[in-house]
Amino acid sequence: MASQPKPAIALNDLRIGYAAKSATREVFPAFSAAADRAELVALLGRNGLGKSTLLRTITGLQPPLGGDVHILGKNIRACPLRTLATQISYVSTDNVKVGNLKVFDLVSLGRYPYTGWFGTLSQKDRDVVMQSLAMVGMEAYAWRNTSRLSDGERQRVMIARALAQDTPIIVLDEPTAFLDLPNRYEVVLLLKRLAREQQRAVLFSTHDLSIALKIADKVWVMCDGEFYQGSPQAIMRGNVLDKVLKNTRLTVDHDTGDVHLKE
Amino acid sequence: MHLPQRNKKVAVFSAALAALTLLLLVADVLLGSEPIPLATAWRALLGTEPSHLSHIILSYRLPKAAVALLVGVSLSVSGLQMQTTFRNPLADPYILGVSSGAGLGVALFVMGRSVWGATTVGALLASMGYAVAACVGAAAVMLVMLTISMRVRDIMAVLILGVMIGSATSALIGVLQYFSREAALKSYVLWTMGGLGNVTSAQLYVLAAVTLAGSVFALLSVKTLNALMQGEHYARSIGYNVKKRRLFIMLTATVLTGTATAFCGPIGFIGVATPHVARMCIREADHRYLLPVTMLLGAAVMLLCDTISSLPGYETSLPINTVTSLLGIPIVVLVIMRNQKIV
Repeated sequence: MASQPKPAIALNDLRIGYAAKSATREVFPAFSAAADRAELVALLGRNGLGKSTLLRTITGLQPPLGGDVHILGKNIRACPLRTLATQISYVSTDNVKVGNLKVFDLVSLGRYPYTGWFGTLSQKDRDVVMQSLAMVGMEAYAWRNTSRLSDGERQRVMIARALAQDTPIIVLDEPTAFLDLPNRYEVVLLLKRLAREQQRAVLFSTHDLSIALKIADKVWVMCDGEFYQGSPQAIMRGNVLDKVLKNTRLTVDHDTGDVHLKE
Repeated sequence: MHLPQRNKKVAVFSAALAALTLLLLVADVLLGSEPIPLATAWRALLGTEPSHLSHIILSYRLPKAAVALLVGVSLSVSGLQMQTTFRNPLADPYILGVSSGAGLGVALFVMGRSVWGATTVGALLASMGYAVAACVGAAAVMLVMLTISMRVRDIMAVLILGVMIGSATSALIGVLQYFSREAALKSYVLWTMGGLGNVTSAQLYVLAAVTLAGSVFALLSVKTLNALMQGEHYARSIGYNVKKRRLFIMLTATVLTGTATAFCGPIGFIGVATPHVARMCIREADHRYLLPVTMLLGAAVMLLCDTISSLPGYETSLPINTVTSLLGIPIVVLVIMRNQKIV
């Protein structure tokens, strides 16, 4: 193959939205972007711009309206669901509420692309599940009931589930929502560590501007029909964040990435 | 380390439940308007009992108990499949109107013949016709409910729409009744009263075959059910074609419900209640544990209901649906009270 390593995620003239029989609704104009392995990418943008739609399109949960998503150099249109499930895992904002479901069982669902007809876990599968729980610091919770977890614990467990899926790419939709401030930092730092130590590409959407700018390796910004990507420093110093905060009472400090109320 | 313990716990519970089911089966055969001693029943089975009791056991009590067992399994499996697929703790064939759909199918089959005057139908064909008509009616409602549940996220709204569809189906049946001839009307009304005792031997074979096939399909789909319980996006993200799998599982649930309803009339609350009792007993969400336990429990509960419906000393027996309702509704109420934060 090519000597140049392929980007983990490559979006080429991607158009996202919903195709219905009557009308096609494009939620964001065409754009291109890329993310590499070992890179933590934060996706920023205000509500309703299509961040979740973009993440669902990248994970193959909904088809693109146009353009392509390439995962490790392969177009996902040509990729069977089962294969895709071994390359990209997803943590959504959906809350899995199932009575009596143990933490271990929830995380072991991540092993499903690898298990047989009845989903019986091998010793290796069980080890991976426990290692995944250990990575997010939740191994002591393995036999607890998922309905008794706090929001922070639940988010860690869902991340462990994605880790157990053992994919080079992890996509997370607002993993810091509903969390208190220390937990937000903890979760994003955890994602950074996972990206760095295990050479995974980790893409997450968030509204925590300053956390994203402090910790992420790369920032994607969706704003007013335009897409920007760059290092946190470049995004911070440029005028992108001013555009994001246009018509609000907020301004951004271009040196620290902190947000202030206008006088 | 926890896994063998869990397997053992569920295995022990299942064995106890199987023993209980066997006990209830014996009780159901022995108890009735005329209680029969165990020794007599045994002789009847061996063919050495000379009295009329032999006939009662072999041609009436035993087939009826077999029907109770099969219908209990069918409705419970179907209820669990629907609860997981719809991700709704109160989904079941009766509540979501699938049983009513089966009723409409049967009504069209029975009374439609008199309305637009189709003529000769053979006896076996007629009983198969009941089953096919019920399955088609059930499938129609199931498709409507699946489509609705894909668009309506609120599970309460889905339940209310299910009740509405049930009522609309009943109204349609009312219209049919109004226009149909007396004989057809009578045979339809008899069908709605249901009962486990009016099943012919041909129907019993059909019921047994469908229940067996449906249970095997359900057992083969435990992994899919586990995947579906976390919701559409997560199931897809671990490689499941959710629409296809859902349709396949609901097809199984439809045929199970349709056939049971065709031969015994609509029977409520077994489908919704049994999976919850199973959850309360073993405290597991994994369908590899939950499904077999639900099947056993369904058989046990239905045998119990049948025994209650024809207690000794009474000439007539209670309609089976009243017994299942009185037993099942408290469990549904309990589930709602517990789940009110979730729902």
